[in-house]
Amino acid sequence: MNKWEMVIGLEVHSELKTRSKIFCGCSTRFGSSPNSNICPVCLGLPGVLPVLNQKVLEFAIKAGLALNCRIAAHSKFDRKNYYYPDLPKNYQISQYDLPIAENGWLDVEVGDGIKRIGITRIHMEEDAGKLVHAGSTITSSSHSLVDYNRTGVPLIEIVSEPDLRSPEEARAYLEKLKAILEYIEVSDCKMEEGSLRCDANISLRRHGQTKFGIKTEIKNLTSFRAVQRGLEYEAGRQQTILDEGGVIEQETRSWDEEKGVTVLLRGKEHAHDYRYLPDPDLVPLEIDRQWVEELKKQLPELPSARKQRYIEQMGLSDYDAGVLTASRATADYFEQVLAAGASPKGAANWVTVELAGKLNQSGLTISQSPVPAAQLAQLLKLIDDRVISGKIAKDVFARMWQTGKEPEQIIREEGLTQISDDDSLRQMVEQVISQHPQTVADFHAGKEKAVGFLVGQIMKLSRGKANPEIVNRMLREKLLEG
Amino acid sequence: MTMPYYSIGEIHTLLVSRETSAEALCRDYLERIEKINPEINAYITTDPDGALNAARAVDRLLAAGEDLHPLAGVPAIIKDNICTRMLRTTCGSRILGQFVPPYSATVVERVNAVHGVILGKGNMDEFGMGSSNENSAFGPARNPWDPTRVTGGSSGGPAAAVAANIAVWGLGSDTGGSIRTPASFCGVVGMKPTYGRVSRYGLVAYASSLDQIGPFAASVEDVAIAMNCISGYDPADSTSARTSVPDFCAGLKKGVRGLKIGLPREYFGEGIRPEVSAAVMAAAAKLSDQGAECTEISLPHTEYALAAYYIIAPAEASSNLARYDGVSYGSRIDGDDIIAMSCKTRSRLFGMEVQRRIMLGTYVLSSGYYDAYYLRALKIRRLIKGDFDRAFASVDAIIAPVVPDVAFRIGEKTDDPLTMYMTDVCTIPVNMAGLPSLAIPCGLVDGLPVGLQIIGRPMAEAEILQIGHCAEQIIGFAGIANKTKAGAL
Amino acid sequence: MIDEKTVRDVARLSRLEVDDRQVEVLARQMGDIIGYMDMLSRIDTENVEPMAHVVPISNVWRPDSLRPSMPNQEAIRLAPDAEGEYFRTPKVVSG
Repeated sequence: MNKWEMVIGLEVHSELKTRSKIFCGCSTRFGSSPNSNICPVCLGLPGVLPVLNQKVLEFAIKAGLALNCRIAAHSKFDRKNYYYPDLPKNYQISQYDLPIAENGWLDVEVGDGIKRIGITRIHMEEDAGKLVHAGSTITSSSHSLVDYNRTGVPLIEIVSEPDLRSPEEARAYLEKLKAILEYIEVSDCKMEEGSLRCDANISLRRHGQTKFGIKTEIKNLTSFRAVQRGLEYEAGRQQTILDEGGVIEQETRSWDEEKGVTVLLRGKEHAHDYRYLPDPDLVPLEIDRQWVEELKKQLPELPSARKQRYIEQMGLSDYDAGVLTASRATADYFEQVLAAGASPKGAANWVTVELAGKLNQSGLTISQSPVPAAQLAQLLKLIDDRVISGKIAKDVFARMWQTGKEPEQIIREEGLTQISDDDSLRQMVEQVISQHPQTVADFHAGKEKAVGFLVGQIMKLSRGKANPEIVNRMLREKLLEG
Repeated sequence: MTMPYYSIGEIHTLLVSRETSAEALCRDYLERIEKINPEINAYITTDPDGALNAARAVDRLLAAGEDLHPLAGVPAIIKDNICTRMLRTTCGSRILGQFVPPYSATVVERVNAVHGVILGKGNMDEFGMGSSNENSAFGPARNPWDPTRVTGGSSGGPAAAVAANIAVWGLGSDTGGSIRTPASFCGVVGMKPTYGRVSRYGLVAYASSLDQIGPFAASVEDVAIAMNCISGYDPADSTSARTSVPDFCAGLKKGVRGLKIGLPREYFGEGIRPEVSAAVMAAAAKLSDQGAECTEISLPHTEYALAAYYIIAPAEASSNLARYDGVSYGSRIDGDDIIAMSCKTRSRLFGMEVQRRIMLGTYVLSSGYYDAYYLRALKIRRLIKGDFDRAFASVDAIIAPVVPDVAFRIGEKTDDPLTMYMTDVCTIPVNMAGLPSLAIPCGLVDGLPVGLQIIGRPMAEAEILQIGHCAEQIIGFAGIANKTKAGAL
Repeated sequence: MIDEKTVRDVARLSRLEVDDRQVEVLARQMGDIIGYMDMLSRIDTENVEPMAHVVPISNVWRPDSLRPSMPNQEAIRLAPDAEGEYFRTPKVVSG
């Protein structure tokens, strides 16, 4: 960006995974048939009144604590007034001047270092419904259909300080935020289902300048990739305007994933006047300090602390520790493998490489893995005990994945036990040496690579069952003898 | 057809002694409605089938020898902003002209639970916005004392129905005087309970921080019986109080000896018709004779209450009424796109007063005006509440006029909203402070009823009912009413 | 003073359609009412806390438990226009 510095702040909406909605007893379940999780309250029928779901408050406080916020002593709900057909009351119950949590921070790994990103505030609010358009786009439809199932699903909005300086940082922040919300089990954070949504504010300023430039807001960033690409595009767009001596218009833009551009949604002149007012139907919240302390104690070990522990106590690499702790489910799985007796390094390697690869291929999450942690631990033990080689273990793992069988059973059934006994190995070594005189000559001429070739031939002969370490040792002995 | 005024207690005795059946009583009332309602327009909707079914259920209970609640089988009218399951609930508005709620308000459930008989839905100013019942899409209710005059509003229908004895009792709602004003104009008893005493769940919101449901009846005792039925904590209403509910009938006859009653000078001066002041003062004097101690007090911020109310109430209303957009329920007027449809729907199906208040509310909340109007009004609300708190440190109750004058003629004030708003000058401070207030008739001026209100401490409904009962006995308004009006209907 | 532009702006925010004649009348009426409200500026409210709730109730909530929803047909019955299980509206434009 040469002379321009990006200034980015994110507004993240996260659906809380409560059973019932924020102000009524309807289910929050995703994917129900249209307009089936609705009642007079979330439909906003005349005369209904909201009653707060306590779990929402608890989850919001937990999120606030996990993001190092100050939890409000006094909080309240306000009405945010604007017309939209997916908002049945035409106001959203939200929080305005007394949000549940403020002034927090989140450490994000960027480049080689750690950067502290400020959290301005976290507030609770209700989600809106969904519009289904008859045509291809909103504007080309002659009419729209409304599904209110999502109306009233609890949300927290997490607003960051404008501390982010690049699309990569924004993405890293969002990923870390997602990990934390998952860790503390308040949200599923599924961007594809809309349970984690992100709007971004971005402006440019000259390096060294302290004053902020005019910002635009980008909406419809529905994936991590979209956040990064959307910001990259928008930064470029703003830069072009500024380089040409133009002025940025304060406006709201929408990311068009297909075209890879941001398009104008509404200009400043159409900015909403939300006319916030305290919701007279909901009473103030006086947050009990003791309750907050209890919730604090209930918080699990958060990703940063866990990563640090993996590095310091288990001797894992920064990279492996980072990958393992990026999601709570992965870290929990990893620790289950350890608990079943595996060594940290082996387990880390298998979880981050073999297992991650399989999961990725089949589009499963780690909690859906057909290979449970205990079985992976058994497999690792078989490698350590030299019953099978690492290479064979990969085949065994593939069979475990397919069949759900225990590794020992697979090895037994398929006769995959590693050959470690000296006699049969010695025979194979001798056979291979006699079959490849030229290679043996190459070895004596100083070509180290020749050993590898010969080991390969022995492994082939043994159909992979030979213990490669022993083969290597024997082969060298034999070659040097001869 | 004349029909004597039976009190709730008398009806209960008639039913329990099997002198009449609930069904026969219900049929009598339905017949009276058919005859009298066209003249006074108290009902927007009647529900003969539902009422008769409820009445027959009471008769079955009687036949089975079950104990009956005093309200069982007693015919009632419910203001049409209180939701009744499967019975049209219009709020006096065309926008809800065909709205049939899928649920009932908590108060309606409570009435049903004691086997009350709901005859139908009472006329009202659209969404409760009015002081005369002239802002009803179904035409004004007319005052039984003089059908060329207003009933007062917004709960004009229930007040007129009780006055004309086409319902024994009724439920209304009071945001800035909407129970007390029509009670005063129609010569019946009406109570606005403490904010939080009665559940608002199912009451279509006008101004949520001020709205409260309360009863109408011909006597203080009947109002007390109704209060016993409708009061109490409701988990569906976050603003409902967990305070325990006393038996409001228990202490009615305790008299007023030793009670301190404040007469706020701000309610008896400029803007109040002298004859009205005099009637209220005369009643206070009679209470003194009964051993009450009446003293002049001051509520210094009274003059600001009206202005603050007409900021807060429209502000809340502008938000509460945003939901009527023609999208998912209520009536719709078609348009090419959603905005055109909503704008047409709202501007053609809301009456002008409702539109005016929505716009006022939008204005006082909009950026640039919020601090000067809405925020300031909330601060003044605290000052008004403070006035009452200070007064109640030295008095047990406050007596004041309800309305500055008697019922005016239909059409007399419709051109000038601000003058109409002044009707509420004595009732609004009570809503601003969330206090209970009982309106009872205390005399006639120009042959029309005049009311007084007894304002109590928060949750002190029992005390003001006690004072009201004593005042009712010594004023003897029922006797006056029988002589002057009952023959007419 | 409320001018006609203000009336039109407020009407737009309120999703109300006002014709020219109404704008004139409303400007006058709202002007009168707002003018009356200006009396509030006479009192010093500097150190007064705003009062949004008149009763001293706080911390009201319910447990996170499910209650039955409405049958879809019961909700759709209320709709001015519907298609299958959906509520139907004219096309959505932003404003």
